[in-house]
This record gives sequence, C-alpha cells and structure tokens, in this order.
Amino acid sequence: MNNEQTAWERVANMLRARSLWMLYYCTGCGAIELPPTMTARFDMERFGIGPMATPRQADILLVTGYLSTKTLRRVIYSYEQMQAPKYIVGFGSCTINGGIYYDSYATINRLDLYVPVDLYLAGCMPRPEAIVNGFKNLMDKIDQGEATGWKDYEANYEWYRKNQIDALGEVYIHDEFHE
Amino acid sequence: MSILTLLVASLLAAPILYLLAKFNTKIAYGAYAALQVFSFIYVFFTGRSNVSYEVIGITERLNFNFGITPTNWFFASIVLLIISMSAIFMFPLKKSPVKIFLLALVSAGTLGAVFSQDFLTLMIFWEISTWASLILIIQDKEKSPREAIKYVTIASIGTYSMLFAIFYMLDKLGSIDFSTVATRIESATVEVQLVILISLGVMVLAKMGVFPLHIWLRGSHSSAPDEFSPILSGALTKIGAFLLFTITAALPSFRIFSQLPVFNGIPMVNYTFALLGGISIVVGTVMAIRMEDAKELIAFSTVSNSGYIVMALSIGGTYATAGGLMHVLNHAMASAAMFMAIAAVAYRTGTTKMHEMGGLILKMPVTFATYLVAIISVAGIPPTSGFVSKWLIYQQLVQNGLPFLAFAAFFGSIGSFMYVFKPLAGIFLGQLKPQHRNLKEVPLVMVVPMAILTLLTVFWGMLPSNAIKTINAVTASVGINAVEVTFSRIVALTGEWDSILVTTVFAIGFFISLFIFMRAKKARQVDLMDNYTAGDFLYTSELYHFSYRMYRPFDRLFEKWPSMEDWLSSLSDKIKELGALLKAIFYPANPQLYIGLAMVAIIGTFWWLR
Amino acid sequence: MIITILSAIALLILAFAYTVTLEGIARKIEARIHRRCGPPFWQNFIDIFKSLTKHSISHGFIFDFGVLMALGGTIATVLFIPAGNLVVFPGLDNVFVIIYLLAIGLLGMAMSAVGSGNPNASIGIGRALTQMLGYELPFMIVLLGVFFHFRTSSLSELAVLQNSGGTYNVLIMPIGAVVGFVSLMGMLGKKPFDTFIAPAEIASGPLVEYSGKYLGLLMTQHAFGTFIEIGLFVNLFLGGGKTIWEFLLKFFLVYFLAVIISSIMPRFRVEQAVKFYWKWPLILSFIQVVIVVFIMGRRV
Repeated sequence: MNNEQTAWERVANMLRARSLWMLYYCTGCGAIELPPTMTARFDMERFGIGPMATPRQADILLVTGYLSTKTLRRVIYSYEQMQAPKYIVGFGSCTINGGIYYDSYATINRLDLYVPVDLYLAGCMPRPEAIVNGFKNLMDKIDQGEATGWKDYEANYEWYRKNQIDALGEVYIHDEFHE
Repeated sequence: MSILTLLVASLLAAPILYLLAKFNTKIAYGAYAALQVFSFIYVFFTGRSNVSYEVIGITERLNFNFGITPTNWFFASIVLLIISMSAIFMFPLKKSPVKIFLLALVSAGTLGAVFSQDFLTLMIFWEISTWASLILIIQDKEKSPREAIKYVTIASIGTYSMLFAIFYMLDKLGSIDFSTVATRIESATVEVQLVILISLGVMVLAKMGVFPLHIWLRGSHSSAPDEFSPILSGALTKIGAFLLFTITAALPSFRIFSQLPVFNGIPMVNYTFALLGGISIVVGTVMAIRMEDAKELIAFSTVSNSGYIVMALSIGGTYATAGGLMHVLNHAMASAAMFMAIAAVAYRTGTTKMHEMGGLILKMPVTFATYLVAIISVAGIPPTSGFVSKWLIYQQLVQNGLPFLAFAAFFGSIGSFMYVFKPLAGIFLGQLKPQHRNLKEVPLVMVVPMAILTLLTVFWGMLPSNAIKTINAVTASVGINAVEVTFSRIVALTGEWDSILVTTVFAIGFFISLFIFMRAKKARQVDLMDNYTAGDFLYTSELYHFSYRMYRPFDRLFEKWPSMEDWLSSLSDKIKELGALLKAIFYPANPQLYIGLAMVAIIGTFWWLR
Repeated sequence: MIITILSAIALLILAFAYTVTLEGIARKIEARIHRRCGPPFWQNFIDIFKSLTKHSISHGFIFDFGVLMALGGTIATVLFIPAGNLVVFPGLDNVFVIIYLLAIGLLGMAMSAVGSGNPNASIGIGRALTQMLGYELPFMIVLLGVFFHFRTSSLSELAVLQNSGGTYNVLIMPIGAVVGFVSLMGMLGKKPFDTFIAPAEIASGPLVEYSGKYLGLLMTQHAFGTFIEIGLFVNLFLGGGKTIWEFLLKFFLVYFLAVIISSIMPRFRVEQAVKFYWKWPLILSFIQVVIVVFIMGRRV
C-alpha cells in the first residue's frame, strides 16, 4: 500500500488522530474494562477519545470480546454504516483466536477474516493501561497514514464478502422478525 | 356594473349552476370558478379607491345597505381570494350538482355579508352562507351529520344573539346601519351599550370558533368535503373578524366603554373578549398538538388563530389593530393553503390520518412546499407574512403591559411549532409507505392555486409594507393611527423590522453554509431504509416511521384536563334521561288522555296569561 | 456598507472562535469536576474540522437542505447579536426578530432530522419542541417586563440603557434574571434539560443520522446557537458591555455558571422538564412582570 500523503491528507490525518469517536460493540465481557478507562482514573477523553451513540458519527468500532455468528452479522452491518475513514479495534484475545470457547459451533474465531482490523488489544482482559497504550499506537498509525483498513476493505471487498457468507450462511426469510 | 349586480348575479348563479351541473358537472364547476375569479378581480381592482354605497329598500325602515369602504374592500378581497382559489382547486375532486348549488350559495352569501353596511343585511347574507355550508358539510363523510348538529347548535346561539341585538338596536337606537348606530350608541345608557355589544360579540365568538363556542370547528372542519374546508376556515370565519372589527373599531367599543373600569388602557368588556381569545389560543394549541388527523389538527389551529384575531382586535390600539387585520390576511391564506395541501394529499392517498402516510415529499413536492410555507407563516417565522402580524400584536402587548394575554400569545406562537410540525413529519417526511410508491403530484389545476397562495405568503413576508399600507388605509377610515412604514421597514414601539435586510442576511448565511457544504467531500446518497437501527435489520419501512402520538409526553401532561366535549355530551345525556323520565311519567297510553293533557295545559296557560 | 460587512465578518469569526473555545474549556471544566484531566481546550476545533474531512451519507434533498437552512438561519441570527461595541445592525437587533430567526434554524434542523427517516430523530425533535414550549414561555414573559420597562426591544439599546442607568437588569429584576437563567439552561440543552439529545437512550436524538460534514456543520450551528442564546442573556440582564472584552468576560461567566451547574445534574424526563418550567419559573416570571408593570412602571 502506498503511504505517500499529500499535505492536505497529512493535516486531515493529524486531525483524525486527535479526535477519535468510538462506537463500542459490547457483546463480550471486555466492556467492563471501559468504564475505568473513560472515567477519572485513566481518563480517555484527554486524548480526544470519546463515546458516540451511532455508527454514523463514530470513527472507531470497538469490538469487545466474543462474536457469535449472530452478532457478527450486526458488526458487519454497523461497520458498513460507519463513514470512512473508520477503524476497527479488536479487543481481547477472543477476537484474535476465539478465546476459551474457540471450539464452539457459533463462535467467530478470527475477526480480521470478516472485517479489516486496524489494531488488536491482546489479553484476557486487557487492563486499562493496555487499552490506553493501544489507542496511543492507533493514534500514531492514523497520524502516519498507516491505519488504512477501510481502504483495504473497499479494495478486497469480494474476499471479505466471501468469508462473511461462508461463516454466516444465507438468510431465507426476510421480514421484521426473522432474518 | 356594481357590487349589487355582482351580488344578484352570484345569487342567481346558484340555481343556474345546479341545472347546468345536472347536464355536465365539469362545465358547471368551470363556470363557478370563472365567476369567483372574476368577482375577486373585479372587487380587488375596482373597489380599492372608490367609496360607494347602495341601498335596496324593502320597507320604510328596513333596507339592504351595501357599500364599499376600505374595510369592506379589505375583507372582501381576502374572502374572495380564498374562495376563488378554492374554486379552481376543487376542479378535479368529486363533483355533484348539490355541492355546486351550495357552494354558489355560500359564495353569494359571503359576498353579501362582507359588503353589508347594516347589521341585518350582514346577518341575512351570513345566514345564507352558514346554512348552505351546513348542508355542504354533510355531503361527503359518514360521521358528518352528528358534527353538523354541533355546528347548527353553536351557530344558532350566535344567530339568535345577533337577532336579539338587532331588535334591541331597532328598539333603543332606532337604526341598524353601522354609521347611525355608531353615532347614536354613544349617547345611550351603559346597559344598552353592554347588551348590544355583548350579544354581537357572542355572534363573533360563535362564528369564529372562539372559546367557549369553539367545539364545532373540530368536527365540521374535518368532516367537511376536502375542497370546502379551505373556504370554511379561510373565508367563513373571517366574516366574524369583519363583525368584530366593526364593533371594536368602527363603533368603536373603546370610546363607548371608556367609563367602565379600564385595565391597562383596555375597557373591561374588550379585555374580557381578549381574554376569551387568549383562552382559545391556549385551548386550540393544546388540542391541535394532540390530534392525529391532519384536518382536525388544522381545525384546532383555526381555533387558536381565531383567538389571536379576537385578542388583537379587542385590545385595539395602533399595533394590535393593524396586527389583527394582518393576521386575518395571513391566517386566511395559511389555513387555506394548509387545508389545500391536506386535500391534495387526501386526493392521492385517500386518508387524512397522519400516521397512515409518510415520506411523500419526493412524490408531491409542490404540495410539500405549499404546506411548508403555510406552516412557516402559521408559526410566525420570517420571511413569511405570519411573522409581521405576530410581531405587531406583541408590540401592543408590550405597550399596554399585558402579561396574561402575552402568556396566551406566546403559548400559541411557540406551541404552533409543535402542531404544525406534526403533519410535516407524519405526512411528508420519514419513511414512505409501500402502497404510496407510485403516487404522483396532483394535477396542475390543483397546483396553481396552492402555488399562488404560497407566493403571496412569501411576497407579503418579504414586503410587509405593501400589506401594512393597505391596512393603514383601513384603520385610517375608522380613525386609528397608522403604523409607520417605509419600503422595507416597519417601525413600531419597541424596534424596527426590516424584512428585506433580514431576508438578505438569511440568504447570505445560507450561501456561506452552502459554500462549506460544497467544499467538503460529496456525500453518498443512501436510501431511507439504510438507517441506524442499533445493528438490527430493517425490512418493513412503515414500522420505522414515527408519527403516531409524536408528542406522547406532552399528551400525558394534559390527559387529566377537563374536556368540554365530554362535559357537554354528559349534559346532553342527562337531558335525555330527564326526557325519558318525563315520558315514562306523563306519556299516556291512549290518545284521549293525551288530548286531555294538552287541553289542561292550554287552559292552564290561558288562565295564566289572562 | 463596507463597515457593516467587515463587522459582520468579524462578529462571525469571533462568535465561532470564542464559542468553540469555550466549549472546549467547558469540557475541561467538567473534567476537573469529575477529577479528570480532560481534553485540551482546542479539542472542539479538532472535532469540527475532522468531521468536515470525513466521508458522509445523505438521505435525500430535505436532509441536505434542512442542514443548510439550520446553519444559514443561525448565521443570520448571530449577526443581530451585539457583542459589546461590535454591533452590526444597530437598531434592528430586535429580540423578537432574533428569537424567530433562531426558529428558522430550529425548523431546518427538525426537517432535516426527521427527513432522515429515523424514529430516534423524530422522538428527539418531538422532545426538543415540547421542551421549547416549556422554557420559552417564562423567558418571553420576563422579556415582556423588560421591554415594558425600557420601551425598547433592541438588544444594543437595552445594553446602552443599562450601562447609562448604572445598574444592570440582574439587579433591577433579580427574579426575572433567575428565570432567564433557568430558561437559558433549557435553551442550551444543558443538563438537566438535555433529554432531546439523550445519547444512551435515543442515540443522540436528532443527530442520529448525521455523519461527516453534516455533523461538522451542525456542530458549527450549535456553537453559533450557544453564542446567540448566551449573548441574549448577557445583553438583556447583564448590560452587554461597553467594550467587546467586557461582553466576552460576562459571556464567559454566564457560560461557566451554566456548565458547572449542568455537570452535577442528572437528566429530567421531558414532561418533568416542562412541568418544572410551568411551575416555578412561570410563577416567578409572572411575579416579576407584575412587579414591573404595576409597581415599578416604565423607566423615566
């Protein structure tokens, strides 16, 4: 991937790195580490990182912990509703290798087969210090124009799509109550 | 050609159009529209400058007096504008010979009423249009007859009250024409003055739909045929404003009652009327917010705006009188435009319930624009004409220092944002219903009158001085000071309003934001179904349209409020029970006894009256 | 003409820069109340400009038009706010005009948000309009007293009259000033009156579908809106300012007070907020205006 940046992009990336709005997808137990990270003890807001209510406004999709086939569908949907430049942070070891339930029929083992992950926070759980450290790394990556997962997703959309369909299968009934 | 000829022609037109419609309804409706447009143009362009009077004698003391004064001309132009626009508008809708007969009668009666120069003429022609409109209301819809009974009850309260006032005037003052009454009433005793003005005032309240005589508007406006609602709300209630203006400004009630207790420069009687206007603003606003049917909602907004007119004209003074007259103009145009927009929507979708529609903006863009401008005017947002009248009324409220009336005025103004937005959101914005996917804009014949009203609203919003100058001529003819205006500015007590400047500044602001908008990255167009759903998938768009009970928290505040309609219906139940009781006791089984009872009653009465 | 244009540009830049800075400072203050460090005070500039660089989606014509109308109307309104001796349109800065011009912005925002087709937005707009009926009423009634007393509703004239009279309205009409401040909290959408943007409940309400530049424009609009609302209060009750610096200082103090009150408050439900406004502020405003109209009379 080409890392050459125009001056305009450099400014834009600088701004993007300093104002990160998160949408957290709190299906797993990892979400419990976020309140201390946000509140008085570790204070994420001093880096310009804050929670946002909807995927339209958010820059980061924070996937905290396990994904099942059912929730993966929602993650993909939410990710596609987000506006580029957008980043995904995989939180906890379960997004990397499936964690302790790796052998369940419904568990998604590797997140980056389905959506482009810009940063993994390893650990079970990662402590707030690790989270803050991870976000600092992400900020550096964005600043240097290296966090290009969203471009990757557009470029290799067929590949991602195929993986997604393989994992999820097809949905037959389309209405409000089934999918 | 004179007003008299016009009046006779439009009265004669009713049976002729009826017969014509028996053969071909299209020609009859076309002729009706042509007649109305012609009379509007004729009145508007010839009546402006010349003042003239015409009299038809009936008996020695009883004449039909007609005349064109600035006041008559002002009200006649407004009313005829609305009627002629509706006459064009109704062309594609359901036609019938009976309807055209009644419509022609309504317009003839209205024409006679607004040109009348005495109370009896006013009342007779007013009643012609009222009774015609009464039968017209029950033409289309199922529930109408019950609503028409409400209308007839309230209307007759007003009519009897006015009839009483007329006889009383003939008895005590010896005359019923406006100018003679105006000179003679000042020397009459306070009791006579009070009786005359209050009983005329009851007529005003009944016909304009002001608290406590407002309950007929909801039913009759909403169940009237769609093409008739604009006339009912935009034109017929404005005759009430004509009578009110006559009694407060031409008679004038200020000077007459100046010896009664005066509250902040307003005589007690006028203050009472203004207070009733204020109450009806609040009641109309609250009820309008709670309605789910677009026509019922606009009916209650009519209650609220009639309240504004009554309040402004009763307060009197330079600004409130001008503001009240301006509000007559604005509300006539805005409510007619709103009813037309709803009629257009109902013409295509067949419903007026707001939650049964949605997302019609791209299907019916002109209707949307009409509705949007009309509601901006009703809410009093510049640059539409609605702002000017509210602004002038506020000036008077500040000048006289009237906090309680101001409360009502502000309540109506801010509350109107809530209720006008509800149909906008429910009908035109949001998710489109699947059954409305193939809708088209209404035919050109319906579009043109809506567009004309919209453009006029914007025109008088940009250049209110044009309308205010006319109104100054009206107020000058009854001896009220003029509002100071220049080409673009209106100067009032607490400040100036420069409509051109504000419009320009708004345009500049708009272009600044447009510039930033265009400079930034172009947005990707997505469907309304591609929407944030907290990760859930969306298949049924109509379930994702939020408009039913949009102001539910607000409703909850008012759920426990006493409802006048409930109170009245329980009263009528009680009367029915009493009747049933009397029937059970006194109704005899055989006719002999019945005749016997009747004889006893007659003999008793005779003995008592002996 | 040239002077008008120059002062208009100056006022717009001042309003934008100052309010956005203050919003950043407000975040800092709030963080300090929570015993956090808080973001740098220029954070809100970064947020706005970052939003403008992002990609965005549009839900159709009314979605775009409403946003432009909102920002356009608000920019137009800002020009009628006198900032100390920086007055763009002297004599025309009528309070009624300002309040109704601000409504253009509100209507545009409401149309655009509901035009997105998201029910969360509709709920938020419904709440915002309901709450508006709550806070505007006591505010307008207090204003009636102020205008009655001074015989003008021009903001710059009111400021001059207060300065030349030697006392501010906050001393002449203390009850009214308190009511005005409580209403101001509602106008600003500060806690406890922020139910219409409740992020956790209705996904930030009207803002739910805005992304990228739309969000950036609306954040700008919000900043201008804040400037107008606090500017109104400062000019009405604190005598504006003889110089622009005095105005900005008073502006800061009012905003600071609003921020520290809001940061320790929970959130009202919307009908609770309306009930609250119709109880104490409304009664107090009537008391104030009755005192002004019947006891104090007009200013001589």
